[in-house]
Amino acid sequence: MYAGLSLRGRVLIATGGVLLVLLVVAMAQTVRQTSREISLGLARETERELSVLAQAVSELVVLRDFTAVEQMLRRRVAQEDADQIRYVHEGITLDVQAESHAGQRPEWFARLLALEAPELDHAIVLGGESYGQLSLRLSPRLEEDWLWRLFVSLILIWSVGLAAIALLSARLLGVNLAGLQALRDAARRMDGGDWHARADVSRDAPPELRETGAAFDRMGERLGATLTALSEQQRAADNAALVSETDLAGTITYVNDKFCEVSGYRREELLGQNHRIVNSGTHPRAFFEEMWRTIASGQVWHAEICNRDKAGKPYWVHTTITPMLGDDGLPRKYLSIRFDTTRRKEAEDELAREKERWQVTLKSIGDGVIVTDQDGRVVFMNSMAQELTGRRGEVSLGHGVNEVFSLINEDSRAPLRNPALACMDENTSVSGAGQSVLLRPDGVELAVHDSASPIHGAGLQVVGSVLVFRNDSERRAMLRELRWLAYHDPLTGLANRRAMEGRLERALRLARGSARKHTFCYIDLDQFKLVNDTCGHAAGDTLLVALVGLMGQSVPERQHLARLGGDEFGLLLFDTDADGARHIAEKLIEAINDYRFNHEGRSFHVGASVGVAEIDAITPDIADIMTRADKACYAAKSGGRNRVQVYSSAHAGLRKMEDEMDTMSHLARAMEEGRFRLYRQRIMALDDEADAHYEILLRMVDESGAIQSPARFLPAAERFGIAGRVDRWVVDALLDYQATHPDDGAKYSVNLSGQSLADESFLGYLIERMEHYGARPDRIGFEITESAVVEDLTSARRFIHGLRSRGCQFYLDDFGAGMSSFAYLKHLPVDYIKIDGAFVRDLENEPLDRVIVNAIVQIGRDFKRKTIAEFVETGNVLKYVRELGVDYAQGYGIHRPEPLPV
Amino acid sequence: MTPTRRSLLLVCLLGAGVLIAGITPLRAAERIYHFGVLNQRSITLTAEYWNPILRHVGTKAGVKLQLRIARTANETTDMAARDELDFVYTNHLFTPERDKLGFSVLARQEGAGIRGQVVVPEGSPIRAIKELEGRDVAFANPYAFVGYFVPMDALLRGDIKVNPVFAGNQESAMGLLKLGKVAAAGVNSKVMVDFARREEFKYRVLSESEPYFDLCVMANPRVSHEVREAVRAALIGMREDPEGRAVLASAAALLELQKPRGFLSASDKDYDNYRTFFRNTRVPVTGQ
Repeated sequence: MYAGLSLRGRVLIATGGVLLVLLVVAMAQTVRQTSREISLGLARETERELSVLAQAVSELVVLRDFTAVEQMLRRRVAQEDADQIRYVHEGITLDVQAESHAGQRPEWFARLLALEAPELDHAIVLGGESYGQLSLRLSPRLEEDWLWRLFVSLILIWSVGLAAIALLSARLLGVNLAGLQALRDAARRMDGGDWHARADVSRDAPPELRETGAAFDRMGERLGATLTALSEQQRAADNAALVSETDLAGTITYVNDKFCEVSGYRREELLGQNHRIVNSGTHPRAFFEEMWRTIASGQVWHAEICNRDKAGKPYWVHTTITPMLGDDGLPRKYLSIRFDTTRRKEAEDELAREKERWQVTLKSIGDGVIVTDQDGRVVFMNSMAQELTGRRGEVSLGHGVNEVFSLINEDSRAPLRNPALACMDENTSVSGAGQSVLLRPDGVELAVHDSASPIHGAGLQVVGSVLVFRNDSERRAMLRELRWLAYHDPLTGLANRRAMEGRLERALRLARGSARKHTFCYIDLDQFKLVNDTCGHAAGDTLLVALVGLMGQSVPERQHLARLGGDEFGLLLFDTDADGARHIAEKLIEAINDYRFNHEGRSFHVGASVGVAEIDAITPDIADIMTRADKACYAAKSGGRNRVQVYSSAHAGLRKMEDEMDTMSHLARAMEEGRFRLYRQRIMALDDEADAHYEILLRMVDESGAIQSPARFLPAAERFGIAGRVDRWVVDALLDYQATHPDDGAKYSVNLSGQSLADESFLGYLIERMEHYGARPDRIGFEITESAVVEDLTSARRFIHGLRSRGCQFYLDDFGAGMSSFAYLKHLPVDYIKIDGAFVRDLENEPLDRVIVNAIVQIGRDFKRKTIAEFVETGNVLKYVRELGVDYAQGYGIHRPEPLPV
Repeated sequence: MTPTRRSLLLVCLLGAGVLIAGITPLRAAERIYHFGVLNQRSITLTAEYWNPILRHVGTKAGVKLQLRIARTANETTDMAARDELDFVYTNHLFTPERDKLGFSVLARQEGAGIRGQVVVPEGSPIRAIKELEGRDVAFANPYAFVGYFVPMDALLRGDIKVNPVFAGNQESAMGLLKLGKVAAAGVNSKVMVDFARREEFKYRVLSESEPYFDLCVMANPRVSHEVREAVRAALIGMREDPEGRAVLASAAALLELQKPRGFLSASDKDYDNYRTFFRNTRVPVTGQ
């Protein structure tokens, strides 16, 4: 194998081998040292991050808002550098693990590095009370990716170096061996029949090689000249045109092979025949008379003639007849040289037909088409082009295309280069950038999409252009709208979170490429919730719009304010350091503080807390910027609101919270351990006491055995989305009771949550359970409140219709408590109206309550619905209820809730 | 039944009795009493202040007390209204509506009581509350007693109509006054003193109410008499108990108070002036 290697190959392999060994040793040393340092750095970073995270979740764990804790942990884990965060407290374990990220580095590289990130713990203690333990393990992936990029860069640099050395060596060897190689190549080519091959030995070659090469080339030249002359003569003879000679009478005396081939006659069939043997009869007699007059006078005659071959098939030849003159100047014979032009004639015919077809097609398509000649003059316009340009075709023909099709840029209104002329200049197809506007002679401006291509002649030269365009107005308007919506908040018109992320990317790029510093401010409005809760969301929206106007005046030009969601805003300040950003944020807070929001006679003051994060060359990514600014904002809020906090990794102000999840965990355990109990309270018919009618009430047995009222756990069930599960349990338990107590013929009503009403599968579930237990629908009713219905009125109506059609009855609970009770009464097909207890319990002392109850009873009668008074707690109240004509009464004065009989 | 069998049955019954007697106190000791604290400071600071006190009181009273606090004072009060709290440190339960919840006063913190004040910066040209007619006046929020109801009542009784500006909490209202964003502020006298000392702010009092005792510890009516008395005794005893004094001193240092604030026995009667106020006030009291 070695023996087969060239000198150049041997030198290159030896050099490359030495360099490769050096590369491997250097890389191994670098990786080992860097891995050790990064592992130590990860341990320090874990400790620092854990401290910051513990401060951030403290307030949440005090509030017992474990959902928020989990969300915060998930947000932290969502950042690329965290692998796992775990929070353990009182039997609650929140174990949040990062999703698997492939990273940039291959797995074998990660195994080779073997970076280790320790898992560290941090106990959260406030006032000596433990609020759980937090543990964090960072992911070494970012460091592994960084090392991989470093590794790849080094490999590339080494590769380039290796290639340079190889090239240099090859060049040195090539200088001395090139002449020999040229000589060898020329000899091989000549051996293969290429008599034009030359050695072309370089002037840098050694003298002996140069002389050998020169001698070789001279020999080749002489040999080549001789052979070329012979070859050309042979070719001229063989490939000449159709050549024939006739005598003065037109009798053929000579034809060459080509003539025989084209005419289909053998030479012996032609010789001695008159030339009319190939006459096709296409041309008139006068044509040939003119020919004879010309050649007989000794002049050369040219024409295109259609002849006919032996098979009768016509063929076209371009003919030159040269009289061969005698010494007297008169023709002795005629020499005809003909070129076969049959194919060209056929092509011309086909071209004419093709032209007709295209013109018809272009007239019928929906795009405007203009064809120009090579000078840019219009030679064709289809009907759509005439319609779009507002010009008639016959008037425009011959005019410059610039005149007929004049474009400007939609944004700058600068004239655009005409695409037809541009495509001919550049000899390539061109297409508009989607911003072209066509100026019509009637003053109308039309958005168009245009493209143009050059038309090439047979010699590939440009002979014209075709310009195609269509009305683009509708599509462009839609695109503008979509583009705006994608990057803006519709309420305030500010850029949205997505747009801000794009700008942060740009800021990050600029910072990495230079020493420039930028800042990002996270702005959270204080007390906005007070306005939203007190005055409603519409007022909250009005306030937001007003505040955005104020903030816009405080933000310097060319800086970027965006609404990130809810009452949170982001402000990106280019080329502004933390001090500058603090100054701007303080002015912004001052502007907000100066503002008063007036609503229905009340004036509200809102404030803002601002967190500032710097963006510099070492800022890793957008998520990091947002997190830092968010943390700093949180610190600003904790520090008393209405202030600015610049993020610093050393800042320890992010402190602690409490949570409400306790109730939820009790509730979840109660469901698991079956500690719910059904109670019932009688609803007494005031005109028929035999009408047995009960409302089902739910109680929970707590871990100490005490009975808890629903007020203790139902709000938590609603908030954490398990009210629907509780409803299903209640319905199932009631149906089971009715199935096992067939003697109890009373009617029972069950309270349903808004979540159940909005759950499309709940109706199917109820029907299935009723069928399972063989329940009688007329013994089951459902109580719904306005607040439950308001979540989804359409679903609620569908639900009610579905069960009423089977015989179930419906009660509109807490009637009158809401502002829109009467509107719901109109739209909901309920059977009973339960008058809110707030109007009933003080009937004996509150004349206004009596008026309201009276009105509700009257409305119930008008709507043909029975009325039920809740909270009837005394005999006097019952007396008033009877007087007012209420149909049913319910309350402690009639029946105290009791467990459902077992 | 033979005598042997009868003896065996007796032994079994005695054993069961002993077991039940042993288990019952254990179960009672496991019950957690939720102790709500009205938001006056940040949540973490509240936790750092109250957790050592509750641990000490719980140990002395033989019950387990767990601190409960919501995001805002109003939400903490709502927790009491929803029957989620066994004890609560508050002064929000004296309105006619919330009085019906039946919470009773156990103890209060030392101090001469708090007053509602209408204050202006020392350099303000305003000399009397009548000059506030039509001006912006900052208050904590529409639910604060001395931070809104008391000073607003004083203004309405003087037929002075002002433009109330709600700042969210006491110190925010004072901050607006310091920044000159409002002409005056309705404040809690004690919080105002602390704020002025810390922020080096000088102010003038235009109007001041009678004193009201500051927030008190109240017990839910469902808490047994024995437990509420044990908690009351543990709270009051902190001033005399060396360990309790140390807890109070640490808590005071946390808030940078000049001296520790112990607890004194108090009853519903001590807070009758709150109830009287709400019966007679000209400030609308709705939904509270």
